[in-house]
Amino acid sequence: MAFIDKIWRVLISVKLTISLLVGLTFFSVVGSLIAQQGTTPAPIETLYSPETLKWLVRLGLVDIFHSGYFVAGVLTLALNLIACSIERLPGVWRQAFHTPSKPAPEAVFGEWSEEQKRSQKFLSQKLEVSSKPTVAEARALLKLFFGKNNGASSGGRNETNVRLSGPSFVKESSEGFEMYLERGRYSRLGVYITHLSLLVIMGGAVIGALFGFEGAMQIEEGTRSAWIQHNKGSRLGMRQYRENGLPLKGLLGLPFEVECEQFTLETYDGSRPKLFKSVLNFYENDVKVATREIAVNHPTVYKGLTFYQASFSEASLGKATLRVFRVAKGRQPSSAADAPKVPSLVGEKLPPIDSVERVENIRLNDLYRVDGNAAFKLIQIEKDIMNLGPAVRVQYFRTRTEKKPQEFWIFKNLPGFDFAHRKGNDLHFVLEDTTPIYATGLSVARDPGVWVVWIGCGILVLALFLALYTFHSRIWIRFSEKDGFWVAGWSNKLFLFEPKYQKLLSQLGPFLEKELKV
Amino acid sequence: MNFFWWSNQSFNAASVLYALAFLFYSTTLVSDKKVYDLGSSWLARVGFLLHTAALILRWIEAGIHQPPWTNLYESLVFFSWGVMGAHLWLEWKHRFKLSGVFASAVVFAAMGIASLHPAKEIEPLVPALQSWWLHFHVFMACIAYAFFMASSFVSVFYLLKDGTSLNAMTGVAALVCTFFLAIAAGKSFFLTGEMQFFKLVTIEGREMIMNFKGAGGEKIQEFVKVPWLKFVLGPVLALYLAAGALLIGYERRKFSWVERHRGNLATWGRRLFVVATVAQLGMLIALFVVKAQSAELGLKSNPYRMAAMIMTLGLAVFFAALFRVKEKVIRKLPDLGSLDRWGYESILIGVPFMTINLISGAIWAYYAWGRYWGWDPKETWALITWFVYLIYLHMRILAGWKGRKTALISILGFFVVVFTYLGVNLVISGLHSYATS
Repeated sequence: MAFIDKIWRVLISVKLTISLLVGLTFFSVVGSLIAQQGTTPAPIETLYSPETLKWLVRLGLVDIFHSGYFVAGVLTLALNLIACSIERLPGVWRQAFHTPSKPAPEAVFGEWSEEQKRSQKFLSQKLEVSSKPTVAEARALLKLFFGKNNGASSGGRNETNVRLSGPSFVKESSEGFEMYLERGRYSRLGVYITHLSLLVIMGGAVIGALFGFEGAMQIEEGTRSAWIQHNKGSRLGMRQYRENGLPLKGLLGLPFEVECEQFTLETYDGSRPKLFKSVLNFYENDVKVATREIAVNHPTVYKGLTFYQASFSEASLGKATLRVFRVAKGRQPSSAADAPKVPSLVGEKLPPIDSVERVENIRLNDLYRVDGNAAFKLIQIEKDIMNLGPAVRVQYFRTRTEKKPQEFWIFKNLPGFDFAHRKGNDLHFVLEDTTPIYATGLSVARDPGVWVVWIGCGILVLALFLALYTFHSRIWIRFSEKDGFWVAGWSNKLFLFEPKYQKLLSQLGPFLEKELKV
Repeated sequence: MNFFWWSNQSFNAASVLYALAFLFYSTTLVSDKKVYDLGSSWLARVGFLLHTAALILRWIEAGIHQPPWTNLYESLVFFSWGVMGAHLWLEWKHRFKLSGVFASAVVFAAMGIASLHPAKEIEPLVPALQSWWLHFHVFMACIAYAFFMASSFVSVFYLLKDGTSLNAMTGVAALVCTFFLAIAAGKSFFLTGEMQFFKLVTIEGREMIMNFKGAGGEKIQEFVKVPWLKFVLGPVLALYLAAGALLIGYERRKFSWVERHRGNLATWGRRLFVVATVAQLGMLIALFVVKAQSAELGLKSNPYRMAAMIMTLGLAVFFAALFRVKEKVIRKLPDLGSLDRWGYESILIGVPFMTINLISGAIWAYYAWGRYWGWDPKETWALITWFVYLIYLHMRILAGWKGRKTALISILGFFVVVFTYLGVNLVISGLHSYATS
């Protein structure tokens, strides 16, 4: 028993709290100075020599925040918080909520020195009044003062801004009485709620560590994937996804497929990214069940997994947008205004154009029908060919009339090229632009503890205000015919209370003086 | 109306007023004349108003979705605004203005560094920074840091008033100077003996620093070397270190040797300190002469190093001067209880803001990266700062520490805050955007 008692005494000690905080601070400093696994862009293998790295790994210094001693420190801190609450809360609770009034220690009224009083968190002062009232008069006056200032009209708040329960009269006798006022009992709980909220946050972190994981997906526009490359996480959290997938290390299977329908990149001036977003479709058993748009800072949640827009990359092949010009045969366009806009062409006369069709986002090798008897596809898409800028190679089929399809280049920067190059054809092509095909980079995470953490954080903020900015205070006003008026005050936060106490005194003194003269 | 131009003008005007305020505040340390008393406050207040106007104008120019604290330049300007605001509020509340010496010095230094930043334009935000949680997070950090700093300013005066040995304080100041000068000297100084400054070049009428990232991520850097610098900087570092050792050692009375030579230790410590200060002053003057002759070297070459060299000189001069006027300053200080309470009060204001800062940062990280906590160096140091003030609170409330001990934690906190705010970005690179810009 003595042993357990000893451990308990250590667990509730302030020394332990401080030591743990100092220790955790120290390890955090070390952990911020040594590159940690997974937090640096470059792998740590490139930052240290193999010999150094071996020792760092052996000492657990490359993953300090998940190392045994750091976790042990945090857990001990949690135990410390729990033990302190168990030890001190019941007493505080009793004092704050089950004590109707607390008599002031006699020594406050004159015996203690100013220093002694302050060390016990007391203040007291004799109110000098020129005339001597009777007990009944004093009682009535105080009642008037607090009734006036503490009445229903001001919502229980007197002018001194000290909200007081009461006043109640205690210790009444024929020679005198003591009046008791109190406020801010709830403030005493602030500290405990603050500590509780920290435990809640730690609990949320533990849930996340036990059941969560993080991974990444790269999905090319227009394709689907059901595989997550996982970076880190717990076995427990990943188990169900492991079962969905192949028994491959580092790869998790989803019970659904994710398609990147479209990826959009917007830039401010051609280089600085302004926005990137993906339109994602979720497929279950090959049926599209949901469509979501995500962007940086705007993730989406599907079946307990959160999908974040993390990055993007250009896939090797591109897309092209073309305009197809159909040459008018036999008849001219009815008016000049009707004539579709054709590219200006130096030195070449353009054939009359009947109509223009714009075909967007053509992918490689997709066949497009343009007429009843004609079709084309792109067999090569180049961002820049021979310094001539973007170009595509078109394969153009005309059924029946030609055996071999025509193959030719068209260039974005030479819009008239095709008209000159393939004179006499009834279809001409102009390349508007090529755009790369992007692969969207998604972070995928599952963290069932995150809401617990947020709730903990919310409580923490509120409780901190309760703990730091509100205070519990008691005021005693004593009157005896022999000794006159004495005022005493106590608060758990004397420095917050004192200005209010002084203000009360500065109002009460003149009030009594004035009323007694009348 | 050109908001951007007006914003920069009022920013410049505010900087000038803060510099004047610093001179006036310094004078109030020793003078009772009303003109300094009123002048210091009003210069700082008008400067603060202009500063506020500069921020608002910049915000209007950038648009509602981009508050004026989204890159390192803006953040420095905004942070100085917070420090000055916190100081002015406390000054008004407690009628205690002496800590304005430190507040205006820190603010002027931060504004100075900001004005040396090459990129002052309003840059559109990259996607990760387009988040109100982030903006809120930075705002909260600014307020928390400002009040923590205000507390440390008062705490220095507490130490003075409570009779802490000025020799020992100067010893610590000497070590602080050694430390920051050593950081300013940089790795190259200790490895090769040369202090390297980035070369300044003028490209298309704009002054640029030869420090770029190439297309392949390789570093393109060119340096200016000042060969004589090592012959001064080395001795200055050594002198500060020696002065620090002597002045702190002088307090270790339990060693009989120290007890026998106390008088000498203090005298020589102070002499070395003054010599180091004068040598540093000379070094900086000579450096400015070189600077004036060469277009390739300037304050802009390495704003942080230059600021560290100037700020340490300021600190040294402050303590060297304090020996002469100590009694006068102490007489002007309010009672110990008040100083202690104000230091505590500032921390009580700072802690909830620091907590909200941590939480809102976590929320932003969660939305941007998919995790609320990743032990990134900046996050870690924010947590360290929080821990330091939690230690302060627990020491104060539970262990009954107050006065000198808590004042020391508060002063330590100043350095932790500075490191969290700037050191992490300059020394340790992290995920945070400020790291490289």
